[in-house]
Amino acid sequence: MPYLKEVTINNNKYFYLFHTVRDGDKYKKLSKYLGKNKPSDEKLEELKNEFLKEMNKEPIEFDSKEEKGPNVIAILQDLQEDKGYLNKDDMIKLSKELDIPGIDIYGVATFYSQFKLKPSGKYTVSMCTGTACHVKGSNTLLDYLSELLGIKVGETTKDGKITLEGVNCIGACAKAPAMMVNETVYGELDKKETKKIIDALE
Amino acid sequence: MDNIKITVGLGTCGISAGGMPVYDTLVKEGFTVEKVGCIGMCYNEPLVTVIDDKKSVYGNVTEKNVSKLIKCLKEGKECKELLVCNEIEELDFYKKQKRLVMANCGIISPLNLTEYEEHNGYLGLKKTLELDPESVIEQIKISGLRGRGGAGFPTYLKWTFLAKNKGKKYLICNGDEGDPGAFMNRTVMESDPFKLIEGMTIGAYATGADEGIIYTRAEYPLAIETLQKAIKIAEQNNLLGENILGKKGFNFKLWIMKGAGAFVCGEETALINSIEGKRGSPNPRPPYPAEKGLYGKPTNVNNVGTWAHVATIMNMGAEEYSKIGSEKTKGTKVICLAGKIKRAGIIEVPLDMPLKEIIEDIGGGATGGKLKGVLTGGPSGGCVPSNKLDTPLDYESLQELGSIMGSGGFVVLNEHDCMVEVARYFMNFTQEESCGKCTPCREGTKRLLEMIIKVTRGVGDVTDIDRIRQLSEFIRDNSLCGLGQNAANPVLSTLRFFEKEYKDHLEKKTCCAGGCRGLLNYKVNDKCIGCGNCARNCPVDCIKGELKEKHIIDQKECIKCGNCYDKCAFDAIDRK
Repeated sequence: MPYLKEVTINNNKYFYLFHTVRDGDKYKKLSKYLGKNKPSDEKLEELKNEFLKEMNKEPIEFDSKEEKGPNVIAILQDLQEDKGYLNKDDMIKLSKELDIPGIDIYGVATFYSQFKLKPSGKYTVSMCTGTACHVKGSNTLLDYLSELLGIKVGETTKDGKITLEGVNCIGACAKAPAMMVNETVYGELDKKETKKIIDALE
Repeated sequence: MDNIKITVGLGTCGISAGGMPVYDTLVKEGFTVEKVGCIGMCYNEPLVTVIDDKKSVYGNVTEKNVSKLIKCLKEGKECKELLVCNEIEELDFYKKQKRLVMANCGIISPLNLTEYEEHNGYLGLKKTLELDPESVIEQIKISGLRGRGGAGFPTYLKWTFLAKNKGKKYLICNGDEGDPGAFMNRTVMESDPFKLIEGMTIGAYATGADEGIIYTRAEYPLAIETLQKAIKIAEQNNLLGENILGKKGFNFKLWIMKGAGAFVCGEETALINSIEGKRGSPNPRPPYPAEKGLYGKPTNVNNVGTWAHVATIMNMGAEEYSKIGSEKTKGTKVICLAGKIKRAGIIEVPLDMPLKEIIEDIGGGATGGKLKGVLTGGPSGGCVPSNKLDTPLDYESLQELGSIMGSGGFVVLNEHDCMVEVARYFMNFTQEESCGKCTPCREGTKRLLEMIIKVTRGVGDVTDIDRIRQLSEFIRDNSLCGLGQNAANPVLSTLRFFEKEYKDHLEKKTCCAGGCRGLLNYKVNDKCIGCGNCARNCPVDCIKGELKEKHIIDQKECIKCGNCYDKCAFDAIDRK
């Protein structure tokens, strides 16, 4: 039988009908989006019957964006914007809320370079390691920064002030070698200039 | 002061060069200032253009020297010190360019629809709506447009496949510019968003799709913001939404998906998975997206560049457009020039222009040493050596050289760049970005990287070269998607043209270009005047010598960091 379930996405509550059917040797979970308001009991019975009828007719056609199911990337992006990183507990909670296996959420979080699984420092220093910056010596600068801060690439200083990262390309190729401190881009760097920028961070 | 109009280039590159404070200062001084996108002259950023009875373009205007400009402007004079030119067309940088897609970039205010329309905007769409969809596809066929994302697949064919299918269809704009060294998509999205939207709307009319998605990188916040605003403006003006421009039944909506950073998402099936919110792993084809794509519906994926060209073609006429370029490859291509080149920036040139003209005439040639070659196509491409630079810029010619056109990022190398080290850099990149789905790519790139690292350290012998070649060819022939199939290109291409360098590393244990640190030896020569600068900068204190006497480097202690070489002002350190 179809059952009603409340799904929370970005603090908004949505109602769905779910039903599991057998498709050959596999099980398939079908859903129907009901809207933001909980339907009354009478209405619910009606909807369930409708849902069953639709299912028998033909495979469910998804029409609008919301009915295609939650977009894990977009949700994780919002979550990271709030907290600065993704922690395990939040991801487990999310998995329960969305009724998606935790591994699928963790899989997405580890696949994309944007997602961080550890909290970052107050400043994130991202040295560009794109091709143009590389041929102009950004790797030497990255080694220098790592030595200067006493941490490896990807780590945060003990006082939680600076996280050092290498990024693929920040698109400032004409100003190579370039680096980014949080959102600010600095170009045409050398060791001296880099040290000056780091020293100026409070 | 009232009758002058000032524009400041505030694309991401303009902002990174410090354009924002310049803009603020000019506004504070009471000038009428407009924010425009990027004109492509990155080597002169931040750029300020002053238009009174004539036009003056000022370059390298920073927070510090903007006061000089303001003083001149108030006196009604030209500020000679900062002036780059009066008409950009006079510059060598622009003379040989053919700007179609980039025509408005850096000239118009990106979000001003009226200004876009004044610059022939939306004429293409209006002309499109007078034709039936089949004729639109026919026009694209005549124009000879091919995918500007790199593979060069004829655009009209993709559209025909999609148009054949019935029901719900999607259009996707691939703006996931993960290729390091390329930023032309970002420039178009930031500087001329309506052109992209217009191109997609034309595509929607021709193929019968009613929903489009622009997939772009989350690392491009300015592009996302600009596009979001542009979509809203287009909706308000009946240029998106229902019954567009009064055409009954022509509906098209557009939304933006922020990618989360993965190079493999440039591959179309991986991109589709990513839009659905999943891991961006590619799927085997067939089924092609034109049959079964986003949410199982027929889908067409085209690059930002391709969509922008569509709007231009429909406006200028397919016949006219097809006259540009060569017989096989028509039109123009936007190229990013970077690396060791005098004038770095974004340019647009007719296809079939010899690479030499692009690098020497437009880019002004190599800096810091003799030109060695140019890397095209990023991590999936290869290297064109300096003796092959009369090759014309087209998909086939580059492929014959073992490289690809790719997104159009050109990185120029000079004689001090070691080709083995370049191959190592690219293998390191693809190995990290391999999604892990198929074994040849996942394991192959890792092993290949290990073998190349060995070469850069001079470990092994010449027979390794054959093994490297073998593995490269295996990865190329057996990988699932474009990332793997092209992953070994940088290795194969450098091996083809610079095999001697590989041999030198393995046989003579030297790196003649001086790029592989582990193989270098530093020695003080007779030019040394004994200033002691090297000794002071040596991190391990292995340089000894009395003041005003020739110093000596202790080879046992030396960690080959190269500090002494960089610091010496007298060319007294030999690096071999």
